[in-house]
Amino acid sequence: MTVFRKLVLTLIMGGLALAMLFPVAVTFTNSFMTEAEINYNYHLIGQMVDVTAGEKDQFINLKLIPDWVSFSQYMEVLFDKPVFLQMFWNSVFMVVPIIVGQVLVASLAAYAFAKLRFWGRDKLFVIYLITMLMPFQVTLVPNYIIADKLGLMNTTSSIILPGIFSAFGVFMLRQFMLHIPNSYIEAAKIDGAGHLRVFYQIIVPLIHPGIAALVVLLFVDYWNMVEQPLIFLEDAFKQPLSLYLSQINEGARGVAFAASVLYMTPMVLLFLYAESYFVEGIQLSGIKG
Amino acid sequence: MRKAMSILFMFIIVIVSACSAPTGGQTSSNNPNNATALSEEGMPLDETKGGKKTVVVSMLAADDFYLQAKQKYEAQHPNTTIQFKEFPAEGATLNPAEVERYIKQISTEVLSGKGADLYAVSTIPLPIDKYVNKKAFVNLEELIKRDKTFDPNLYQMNIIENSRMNNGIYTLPLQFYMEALFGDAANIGNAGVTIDDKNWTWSEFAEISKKLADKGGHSVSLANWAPELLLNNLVSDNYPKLVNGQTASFDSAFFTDLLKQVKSLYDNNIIKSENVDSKKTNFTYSIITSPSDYLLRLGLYYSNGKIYQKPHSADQQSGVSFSVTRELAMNANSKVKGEAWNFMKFLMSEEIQSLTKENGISINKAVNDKAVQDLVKQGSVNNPKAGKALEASEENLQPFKEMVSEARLRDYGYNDEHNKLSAIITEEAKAFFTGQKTAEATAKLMQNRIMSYLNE
Amino acid sequence: MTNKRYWHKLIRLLRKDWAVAAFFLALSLIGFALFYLIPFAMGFLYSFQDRTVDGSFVGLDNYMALQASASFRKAASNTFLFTSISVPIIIALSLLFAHLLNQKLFARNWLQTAFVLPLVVPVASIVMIWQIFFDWNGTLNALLQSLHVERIDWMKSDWSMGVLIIVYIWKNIGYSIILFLAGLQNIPKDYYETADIEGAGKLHKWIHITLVYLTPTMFFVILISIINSFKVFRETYLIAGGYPHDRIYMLQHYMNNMFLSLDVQKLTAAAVLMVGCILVFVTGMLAIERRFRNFME
Repeated sequence: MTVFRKLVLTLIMGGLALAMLFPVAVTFTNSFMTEAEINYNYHLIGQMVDVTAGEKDQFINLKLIPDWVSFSQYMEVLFDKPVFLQMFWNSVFMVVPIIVGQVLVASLAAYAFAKLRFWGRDKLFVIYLITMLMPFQVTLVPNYIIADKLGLMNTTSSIILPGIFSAFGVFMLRQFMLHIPNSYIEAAKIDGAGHLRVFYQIIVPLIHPGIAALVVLLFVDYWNMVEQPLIFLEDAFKQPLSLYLSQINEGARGVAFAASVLYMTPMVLLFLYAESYFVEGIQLSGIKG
Repeated sequence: MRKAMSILFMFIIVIVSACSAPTGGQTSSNNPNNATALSEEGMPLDETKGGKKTVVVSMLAADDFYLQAKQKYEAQHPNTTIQFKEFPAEGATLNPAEVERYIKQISTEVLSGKGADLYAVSTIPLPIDKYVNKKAFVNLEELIKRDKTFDPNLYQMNIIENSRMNNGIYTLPLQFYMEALFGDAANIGNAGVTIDDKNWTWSEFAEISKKLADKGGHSVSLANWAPELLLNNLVSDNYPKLVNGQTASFDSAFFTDLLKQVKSLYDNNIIKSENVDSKKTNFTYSIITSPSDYLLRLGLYYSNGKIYQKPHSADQQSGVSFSVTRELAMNANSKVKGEAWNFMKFLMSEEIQSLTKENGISINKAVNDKAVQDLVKQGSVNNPKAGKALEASEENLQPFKEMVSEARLRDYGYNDEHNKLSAIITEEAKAFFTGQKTAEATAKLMQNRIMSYLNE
Repeated sequence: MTNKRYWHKLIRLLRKDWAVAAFFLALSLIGFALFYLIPFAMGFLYSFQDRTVDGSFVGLDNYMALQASASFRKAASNTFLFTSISVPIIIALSLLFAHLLNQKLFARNWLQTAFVLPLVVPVASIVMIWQIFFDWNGTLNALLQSLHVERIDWMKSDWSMGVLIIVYIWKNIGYSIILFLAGLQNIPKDYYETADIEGAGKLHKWIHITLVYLTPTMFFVILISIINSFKVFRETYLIAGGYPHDRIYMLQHYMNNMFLSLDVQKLTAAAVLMVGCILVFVTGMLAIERRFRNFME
């Protein structure tokens, strides 16, 4: 690729990236405004300006640069609302077990679906898929009954266990394993390796990019979950941060941006870290398919 | 085709095998209590654990009234525990997201046949009419009829009777307030306008307001009343013309005229959304929460005031309006219905009801009578704003007593259709009243959204 | 196929990997059955019953009631329209961007991050920025006013569907890009090298190598994009409530409203119909995928 082409492509993608980033930038810069400035700029959201007496129309004042850089939003969220930090850790202690558990459980099951032959394999897989498509409202009541029977109500297990066994990871990793030529497995078997060894010596290293992508996507999905904790966790102090952010309303508009930035940080860090895995992941070149 | 058939087959196997266990088990365990085992007196029998019973009451937050009631009840019934299941919320009032969460939680509980034994309902509009439709709540009328120890003469049965839904009594009001208009009687008399407040509708109220402005009454008839509110009052008045089963005609000329009429009332300052000194208005809307509250307001708003019924909507019966602030409903799946009913009656008793007299009118007649007597004994109510002491005599308080015993027009409360429609109307009408959109555009949007609701 | 041969085939299949499969699947199956399969089956059952507790069978009554609901039909057609416009767009765009981002650009890591970041913006922030732009008094309308063009009620007119599509693509494109990037890594480089030696053209290589090898990823991305397209509901709901302008009144609105009014019967019937429709598509994708598998062997 010539340097010129590279430069042009970079500029095009850069321009698009800026457009994509604009709302993120608004969130970030607005998080340094004072509550008063936020309310002044955005108080017209959802309001109707009375023009019956001949007043002029007014509009929402989108601003990128704060008049006065202030950390008051952060101070309020971090120090005046102890519930924020509590909920932050609640989220961490729910999301991490889900990710670890699901990657483990799902990669095993995905291997069966992708590389083993057994009766009813594809039908069973379709059933896995169906449950992913079901809107949560449908399974809410049955889930409630089951959680109640298992004594999980109002415990974080009622969130973590269903999280671990979701069909998402199975589906995703199965798709990645389909890429791996069967000849690799055959070759290993001829060398006397059992399925378990094939699984963790050949399959797991080869689907590293897939696992990295799964971890990121699971983190995003479960960090953002709202519906399950809404019903299954009755105690306020057990609830995850996503609920706090989904409940920010007009009254708390002034801190919404700082709360959002803090909320996004773990996901951004994880993404920057995992990126190298699934972008420059292990290449299959050199091994003949 | 074979593929599809075999998938379907798998499906059925899975469903049959999965359902036989959990749902089947649940059905059998629920059967005895749904058939409602009855004891000799016809009252429900309770499941107990070693002679102990627990009645779970679900509520937003247990206030002093319930806390004291629990303490007293448990002292009198040592084998029973009253347990409050509160809903955690950040502030004193719930924000919309929390309201949704609350409704979702309660709905999930109710739908899965679990949940508390009693639901204490206060200001949050649970879709009670829907719960009742799904037979999730007990028809208390049956208990009232069967229970020989329940003496209807002790209670304000007019309030209970007029809280009926689906031909049954599903909620038991414990406390309420009345709504009325205080009017400048002298001024209205001078203007020569007669008011039949026993029958007036909101449309008539609007007509009378115009007349009063023309004939020398105050030019402002009612203040502190938002145009959206009046619009909704008038919509209720003309409901049959606007909504007919699953079709609505908010895009009709009739409705756009209604919108314009409302606006002209405000443009001409006959009704105002801002606050105005009550002495410069013909009427003042107010709630009445106690006998002393009634006397105070009567003296405060007008020097020669009179109380009028709040105008009703043509789709409602006429009568004194009331609004319930505290009530209870019983879960149809409760396993301790007898004890729960007992606790309900306890909450209605004079002992517990006298705790409420500061912030509402009691369901217990004796408590209300005593409040009036106490006031009469006291002789007068001091009102610093009116600048004079008001005499509290039996005669002065007679209108209050009559209103309490005649109150029979409950606010819409749990009528989901009314609540949803009025929310949409309120939201969309703002654009018209502020001059941002035309009446036609506003009406079209309302029609658009309301049709989605009606056709579900 | 005769009965005997069928049994032979069955025994052969069972013998092959059955025990191993049971081992690999056991853990997942137990949890999956408990938390997904049984609830799903119960939900499916509810769609044929009149109540959730002690309901009795009513056959297809709930489906008839659903069919009679004009709002359901409107919701279904809106959802279909939205999905069939936005999913192809997001697939095409994310595939294109994944390709470009897979090349050796300057500051490639930063560019990749930029495309994926919208994924992590929380609902609260999205809702606020959405309102800042598309409110009646919003920035876009301020712009129109300054150009002396009549204001547009973005969320309460036919424009709302377009706004929804833009927000959906903006938010979810990173999701598909991540998956396509990971999928592209999975294609052995020597396939391209072999094709180069054979003198294949770019388009030829793209269709016969890239696209073929992306089949499993593509299947996944499409299905997840459909699922994600349902999730725009959360933001829409926070902005426009349960009864928005009927252009964006979707199946998710219908189902959520049915849940809130405790009408689980219509809710489950609607969900079963919806899943049935997606299932037709899934079966088609699986058939294509089977061809890919055979090709791999």
